[in-house]
Amino acid sequence: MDRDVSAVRDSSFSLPVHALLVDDDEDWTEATKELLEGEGIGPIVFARSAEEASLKLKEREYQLVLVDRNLEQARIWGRRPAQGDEWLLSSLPQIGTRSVAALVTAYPRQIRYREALERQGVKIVIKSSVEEIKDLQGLAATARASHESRQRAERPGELSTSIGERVGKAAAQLFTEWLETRPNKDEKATWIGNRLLSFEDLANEIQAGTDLGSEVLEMFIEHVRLRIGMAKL
Amino acid sequence: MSSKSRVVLVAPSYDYLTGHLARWLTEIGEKYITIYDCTLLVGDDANRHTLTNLIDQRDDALILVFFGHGARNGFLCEPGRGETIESDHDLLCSGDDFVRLETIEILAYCCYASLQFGEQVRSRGLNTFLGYKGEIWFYFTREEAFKRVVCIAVEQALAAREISPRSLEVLRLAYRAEHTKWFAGEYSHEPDAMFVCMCLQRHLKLLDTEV
Repeated sequence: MDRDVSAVRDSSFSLPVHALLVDDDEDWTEATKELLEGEGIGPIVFARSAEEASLKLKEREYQLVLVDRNLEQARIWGRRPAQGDEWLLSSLPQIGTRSVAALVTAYPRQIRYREALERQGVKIVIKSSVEEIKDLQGLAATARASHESRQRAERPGELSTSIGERVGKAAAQLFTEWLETRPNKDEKATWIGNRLLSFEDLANEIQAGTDLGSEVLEMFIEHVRLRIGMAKL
Repeated sequence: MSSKSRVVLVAPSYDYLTGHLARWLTEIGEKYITIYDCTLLVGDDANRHTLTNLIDQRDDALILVFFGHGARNGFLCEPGRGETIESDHDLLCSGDDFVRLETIEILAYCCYASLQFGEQVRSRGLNTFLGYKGEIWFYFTREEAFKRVVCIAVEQALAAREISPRSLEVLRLAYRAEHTKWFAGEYSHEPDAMFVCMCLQRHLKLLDTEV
């Protein structure tokens, strides 16, 4: 059983981290793909225009979205050529707040919506700068870590610490209430921890968070697991 | 008491827990003592001197059933009636006390003894040790739930005149049957049924599957 659990945990470190690269410059997309794959990102899909990118966004959620500002064929609302920054700003609701998004450009001064984009957490990566590779590696690491952490928190049976604590407190409260409402709660008849204790004593041990109280609570949870069909005798 | 009996039932009686367990084993012993030629060492008789004398009189085989307090390395007894150790109890016996016997079969209804003591016994070829790997809990308001289970296992061992993997199977089935009564059967509506189930579950969980 322990081996099964560790296998599930190990697999979390190779979770797919989906990325979308929006650029019509094949040289750049290929080089960036190679770099990102080396950082554990993948699968990676390409879109060569804003329209194609919009279609890709409908297909699935991406953990990392990189958009070139200079999308010559880009169009939004079918009215006029659009730049990558404009498309990215209008697409942020589809990309979602759980993803890492970045605008890539060699000319940062030409970004019309830089302030609006940065306010919404979009990173700016300067193409061909000395920082470009480092910036992309940083984005990859952020996307991967955030995705893995979210997956762990959402995985059934592996509750996040705060939820786990709340569930633990609720179980303690429930079982303590059960012990304290027994008709014979004062009767010293349980032999636990090499001591003779009453149900009321056990409730006090649980409330005080002693080792004995924790052990009794664990046994209660095992019983509940059996009751709801999550364990076998 | 037959000093040459092959089967020995031992239950010290000096505190709340051992008082109850000794009574259970006495009931079994008195019921079967003539049928199966058992030796019953209960209360004051459950001391190291008497037990080691009894072991010394035999050199072939012994079946030992123990009810009481256990430790990792042996069975415990009342202070002053065994070997003094750093504990609230004395040591009644340990693995070394049985080395001269050809075979020893032990049913240990106590905490922890299946760990070091059990492994020591099992490591010697034909010997068997049926016991628990941790602290087993009791709820004496419903003592019949626990008594029924262990009595079935002891009676089977006495009838078969051996403690074997079959004894483990019988004990496990008895636990499951008793648990069902409290979990979903005739006693499931009792106000304390859940606690009986918890204790029985713990016994089953700690029961060593190596015999």
